[in-house]
Amino acid sequence: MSDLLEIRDLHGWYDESHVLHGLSLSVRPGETVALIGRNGAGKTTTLRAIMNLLSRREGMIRLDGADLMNVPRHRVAYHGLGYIPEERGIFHSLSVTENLRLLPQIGTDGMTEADIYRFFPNLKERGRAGGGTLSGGEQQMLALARVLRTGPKLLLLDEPTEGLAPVIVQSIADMLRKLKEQGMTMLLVEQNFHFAKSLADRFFLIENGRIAGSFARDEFDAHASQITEVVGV
Amino acid sequence: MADIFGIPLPVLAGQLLIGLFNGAFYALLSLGLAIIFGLLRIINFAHGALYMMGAFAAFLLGEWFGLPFWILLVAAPLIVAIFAAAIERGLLTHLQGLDPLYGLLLTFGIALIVEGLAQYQFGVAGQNFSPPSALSGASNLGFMIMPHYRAFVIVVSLIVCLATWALIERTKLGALLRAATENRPLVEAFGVNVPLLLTATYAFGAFLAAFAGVMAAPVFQVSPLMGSNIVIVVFAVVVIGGMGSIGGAILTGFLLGLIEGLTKVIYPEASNIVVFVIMAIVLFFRPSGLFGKTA
Repeated sequence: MSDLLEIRDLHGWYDESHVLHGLSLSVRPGETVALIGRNGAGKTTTLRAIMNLLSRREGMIRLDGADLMNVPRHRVAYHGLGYIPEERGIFHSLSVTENLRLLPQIGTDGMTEADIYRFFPNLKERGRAGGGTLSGGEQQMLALARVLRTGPKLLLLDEPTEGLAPVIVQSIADMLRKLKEQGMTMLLVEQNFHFAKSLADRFFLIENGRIAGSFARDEFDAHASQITEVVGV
Repeated sequence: MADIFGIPLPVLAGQLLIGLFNGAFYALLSLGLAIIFGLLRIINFAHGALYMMGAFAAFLLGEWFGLPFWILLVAAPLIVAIFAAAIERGLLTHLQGLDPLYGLLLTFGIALIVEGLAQYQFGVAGQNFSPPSALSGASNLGFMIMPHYRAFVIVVSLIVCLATWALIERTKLGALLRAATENRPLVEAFGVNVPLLLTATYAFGAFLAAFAGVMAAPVFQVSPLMGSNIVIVVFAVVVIGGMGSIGGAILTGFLLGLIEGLTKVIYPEASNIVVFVIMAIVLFFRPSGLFGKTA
């Protein structure tokens, strides 16, 4: 099967600092892929590069065959990307409902609001509350809900479990698993190995802005020593 | 007739009305400045020039085509808004990501050019612009004489300010604006045409300034320097209210107009500086302004 997302020889910069150094990876349709690596290795930067949020990038990024390198930032999402940024990106000056309805539709099969409230009942109860008053777990659910409403083909999730209580991590894992069963493709940045292992089909190990190795879920344990060495846990 | 604190009621009421009237302009102008600063991070020193352009556009359209005041009230600000959109697209957009100082300098330069051209063309003397006949005259309310046109300006300005507040705080478009004010790149990555939003916001702020300029035209004379006279006070108002707050800008505008009016009655010598004294006090105790968020 051809890749949904294909990245080849990607270089990326924040102003003068060169962070990605020729990174290549691919994600097949329906697959969940996790990027793992140390802090500062370039995981978040890879997602930001896909969304055209860096000051400069070079190389190749194709989504569903379309070249994303020359797409202006405000058109990138329309190629089918749902982005859940680091620290969730919930707007504090907007209510929960306003946050939910903010993003434009990008695909035809987005979840309806009724679907979303069935999936995330809390969000309906807290609809009029300010985005900043939500707990970390609720913010994460809102960040997920608002991109699911837009109908993406590929979810980019940046540390969805960061700073959350174990019981919340569990319920987020359940939701992502449900999405996966429904055929959603996901590219995930995750520090929580246990969480990543329970969800991802394949792993890319990132070190100094390059791919240091990749393996499938059933090879995870065989690569344990390399993972320990690169990630340092 | 009754006195309040030894001041005859008609005098007090008259000055309060003038205060509210001036406050109406402060509110419209500082509201536009606050919206522009919130999203574009530009301290728009051209605001006074846009106000002046509104007055001149109305004056010229009236002279050339004999358009009635009610049409000028909308048409002149629209023309100024189109001019502002071109300025944003052609110049300000290139300053993105740079220190806000560049925006301040560029807009200050634009103001000097626009005001200089207006002076070259029209001289510094004011042009007369008559209020619509339907609003001329005054009513005796018993405790004070109320000129109709001033009451009209206060009411219309309040309506426009509240409508703007509702647009920003209660609509989808306003939610986009607030979100982009908070985190512009992220809103853009979500698929919102932020460059267009920036242009529209600058044009809208300019519309409000020009709208104030048209309403000012019948009372103050239409002159090239009318904007630079008022804009200094308006910047003080914005500093007192706090740069980012929409409601704060409106409230502070009217409030400071009133305080200025009151000062004229109680201690006229201080009326020109009272706003700046308040600014100094507010800056000392609350550097982010009365309604600004403390960082």
